[in-house]
Amino acid sequence: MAFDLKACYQMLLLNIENLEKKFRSGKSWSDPVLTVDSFSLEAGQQIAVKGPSGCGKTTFLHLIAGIATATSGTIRIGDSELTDLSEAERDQFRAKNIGYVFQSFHLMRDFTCLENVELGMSFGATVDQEFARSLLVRVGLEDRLNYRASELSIGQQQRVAVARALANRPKLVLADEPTGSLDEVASRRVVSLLQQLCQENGATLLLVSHDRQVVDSFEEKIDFANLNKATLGKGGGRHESV
Amino acid sequence: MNPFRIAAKGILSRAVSSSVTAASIALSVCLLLLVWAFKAEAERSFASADGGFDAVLGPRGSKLQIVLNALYHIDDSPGLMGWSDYEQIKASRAVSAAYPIAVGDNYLGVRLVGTVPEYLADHKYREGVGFELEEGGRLFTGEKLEAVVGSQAAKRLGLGIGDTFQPYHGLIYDPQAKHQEIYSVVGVLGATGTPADRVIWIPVAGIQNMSGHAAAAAESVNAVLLKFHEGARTAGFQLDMLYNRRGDRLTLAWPASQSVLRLFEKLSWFDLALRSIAALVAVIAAAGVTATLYNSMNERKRDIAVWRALGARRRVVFGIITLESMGIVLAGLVAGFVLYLVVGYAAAGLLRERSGVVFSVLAPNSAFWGVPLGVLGIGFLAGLAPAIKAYTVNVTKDLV
Repeated sequence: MAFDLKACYQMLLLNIENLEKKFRSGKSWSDPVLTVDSFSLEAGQQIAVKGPSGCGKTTFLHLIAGIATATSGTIRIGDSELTDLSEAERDQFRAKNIGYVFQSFHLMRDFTCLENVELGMSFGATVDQEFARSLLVRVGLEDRLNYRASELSIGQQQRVAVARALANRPKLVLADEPTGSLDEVASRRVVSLLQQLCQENGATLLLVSHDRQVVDSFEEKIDFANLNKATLGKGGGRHESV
Repeated sequence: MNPFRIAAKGILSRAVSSSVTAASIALSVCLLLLVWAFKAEAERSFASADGGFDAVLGPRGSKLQIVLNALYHIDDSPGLMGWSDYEQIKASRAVSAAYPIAVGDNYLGVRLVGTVPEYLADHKYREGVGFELEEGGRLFTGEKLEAVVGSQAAKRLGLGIGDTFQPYHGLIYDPQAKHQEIYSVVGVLGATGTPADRVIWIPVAGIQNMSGHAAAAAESVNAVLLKFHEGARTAGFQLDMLYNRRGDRLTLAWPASQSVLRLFEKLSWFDLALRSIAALVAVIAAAGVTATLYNSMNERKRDIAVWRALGARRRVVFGIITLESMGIVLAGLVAGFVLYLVVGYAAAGLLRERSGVVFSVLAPNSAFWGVPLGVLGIGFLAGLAPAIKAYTVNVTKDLV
């Protein structure tokens, strides 16, 4: 049976090669804070990356989202080579293809739940109020649609943030310590919701967390220390159980 | 959530500071419109309120005072001129009509103006439009103690046909200065929208011979309103030469409306000062917009970083902040226009009551497009600094 390299390549949603990130300080450059030789995700895959605070996980997600730019290396998402795109093109790409869940939720305090979710589809996708409403119903906030974010509990706010991350029907959802501000019960609920919603919407999920329980709730997980050569000074990134 | 809604939410989230800023813009817009539109409209109104006369002849003195007294009924007369002067100018070949005007009495503060009945019967105060009497009325006859009341004066005093009144001496009401004569109202004029509406018309002999007046008044008038023959283009120049340059007893105010327009020219420094103040208020209000938005940028850096993380391009963020600035200015503009209408109509009513001049608040004026364009331009400039600050937000740094 012949090996179909093209078909195999098409199944990959995210493919990272020789990624390196340094920061400029005046005229000089810092040592690499992130060095990833190889990392890939298939479409629909759900994976958790575990690592302690300050090890470069957020920088890793920022690079994948196109919020930050790599010093060298390539990041391919679907058919798009992110490192070849201009800033405006990366913004547009992110608006259409990537959902983001932040540790501190980052909801607009004066916006209602519905408006916060609509904001997630405002910069690239067509605003579909019905879809926004259905997402909020799906995360159990059907009776809070017109509540302001500031009127919600912490757990409810993070559920709105999850709904917002799915609002633009993204191919890839990046979750950066999404349970960092939640208690154990709320954490489990939010992670489970995230996993279910990504599965239902066919989105790939990449979650980073320092919380072992959160990471353990994923079938596939990876230790960031094994991925980031800059931290370890050795090793590469392969998906494996930790 | 399109950029307009996001900008509107931004404005509403800072409702107090946005309202205060919009209110200051509203005040400056109102002031600009009032100064600008009122001057233009006042010039137009006064210039067209010449009552259909070409010139006014009066005693030696200020042309403006003669015109204001005889045509607009709002100033004292500079003095008296002889009846013979009236007869002389009336006989001039260039003059098609001459009507004497005598003043000096009032009824409860409303001025009595003595003239000949032909003025109200024959004169056209506007092209083809003459005075009309309300039903049941007639004009006064030359010698009797009869009066015809202007429409506004009738309303103000509650006078109607058949009513009687006793005049008071002077142009300002003094209860102690009551004359003995009792006048009967024989007619009420229909509204003309001219100063004629605000006065009580009586025979010129009535003023001349009113009890208590000086004997000289019997042979005098205060001014003569003149209408030249059509085609008598040189009449004004000739009479100007005769009375103003060669003579030293009388003054000819010609053209009649020019005297008032000259007053506006003399007041142009005041107009400029008012416009400058209004413009300064607009600039200060715009600075308020800048300060409000710029200061809010520090606390909104995180929100803007989130917009950017959700895919908002820098130019979209720039646009949203500019829209916020324009939104505040637009709200101020609308409120300012409404305020202008309220103040404008109140002022127009007062002006009509005091001078009889009809002022149209909504008459087409360059201020109605010039002020909004200027203020929106200032609003755009005011939003630039905050928008640039938003444009340069560092997403990775501020997304914490």
